[in-house]
Amino acid sequence: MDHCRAVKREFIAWCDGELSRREAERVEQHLAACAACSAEAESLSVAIRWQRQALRHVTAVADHECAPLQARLRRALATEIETRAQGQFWSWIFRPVAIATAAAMMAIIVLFSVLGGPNAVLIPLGVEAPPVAMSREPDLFENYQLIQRLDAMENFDTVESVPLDEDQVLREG
Amino acid sequence: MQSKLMAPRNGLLSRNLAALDALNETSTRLNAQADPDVQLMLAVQQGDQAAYHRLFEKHVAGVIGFAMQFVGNRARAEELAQDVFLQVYRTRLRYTPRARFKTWLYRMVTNACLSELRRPEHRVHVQPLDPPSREEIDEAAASSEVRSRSGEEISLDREAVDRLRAAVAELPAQQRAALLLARVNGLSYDEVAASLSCSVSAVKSLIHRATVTLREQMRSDAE
Repeated sequence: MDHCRAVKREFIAWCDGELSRREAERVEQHLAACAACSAEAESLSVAIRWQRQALRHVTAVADHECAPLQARLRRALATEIETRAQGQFWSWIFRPVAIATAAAMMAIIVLFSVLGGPNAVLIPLGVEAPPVAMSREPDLFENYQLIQRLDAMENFDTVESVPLDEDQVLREG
Repeated sequence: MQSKLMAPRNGLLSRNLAALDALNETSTRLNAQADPDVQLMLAVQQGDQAAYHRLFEKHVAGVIGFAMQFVGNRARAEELAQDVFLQVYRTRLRYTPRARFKTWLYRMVTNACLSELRRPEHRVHVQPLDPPSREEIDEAAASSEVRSRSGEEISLDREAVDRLRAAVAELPAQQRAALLLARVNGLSYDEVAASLSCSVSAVKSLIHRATVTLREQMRSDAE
């Protein structure tokens, strides 16, 4: 009885031709010996053949009914191709701009790091005002960048402050 | 000692299994290459739009008919078919012929249908709204009458097809998909398993339950 139950589970796969040769032989041997299972297999076989035909009618869609969909798909596809082409065009247009911007940024960063900070570039360009001491005594600071590089001025902030005049120097000894 | 003896045997076994897998893979690829639809899809990959439209014409009716059993109305099924075919076009460059084209296509269709069913508005009873015409059913009835050796006979009339349609709509979605893929779209159990992303034994079980349920339903309706 248990054997019947085990074989019954294979009937539909057997009818569909989906069993291996060994499995199919096992089912066929059982069917040859068991009248009840043989009747059940026959009934399932009929049901499967009927379902196969009837399901085709359940899901039937006439080809000519698909023509409007095909027209819609052609339009959708054309739009898709056009959109993609436009996207590629704009990306092609913007690519040099993006590359140039990135290169300029890199150049600025390299320039600042080589020359010793933004002021080394911005002050000569006149974008940034020089420190007061520098503007008062430009000769003193002619080689300021060299001094800065050699790190000779330990108290850089004193350069920023206003230098003492001669009287103050004499007074303070 | 035993483990020392077993080790080379296991190594040999794993090598043999790997060789078998490689052979299966090669055989599947060769089978796939023999599929004319795969050739069309490879042409689509090369930019042949005529090949794409040929694939569409060949499969669109099947895809709509399949989708209708899940979404319940023709318009939505058509939208879904359109989405799937656009997806075919969009993913053409990533396509590799590992199986029949139909398996690949219906994997997408099944995923789309099952995703659609997960949407809240579809958590209601699905009833196909656009059954085939009277002429189609009558024509089918004239040509198909299944008779067994024992004389059991089931005719294919409009009422029977309508009852079957209702019974199919009552099946759980996975059973419905497996049954339709195997019985209508002609996919093997292996291909159904690939389309549903499950094992072949699971497919066997799904189709078994669906077939038996439909048979019992048809019998009880007839009585």
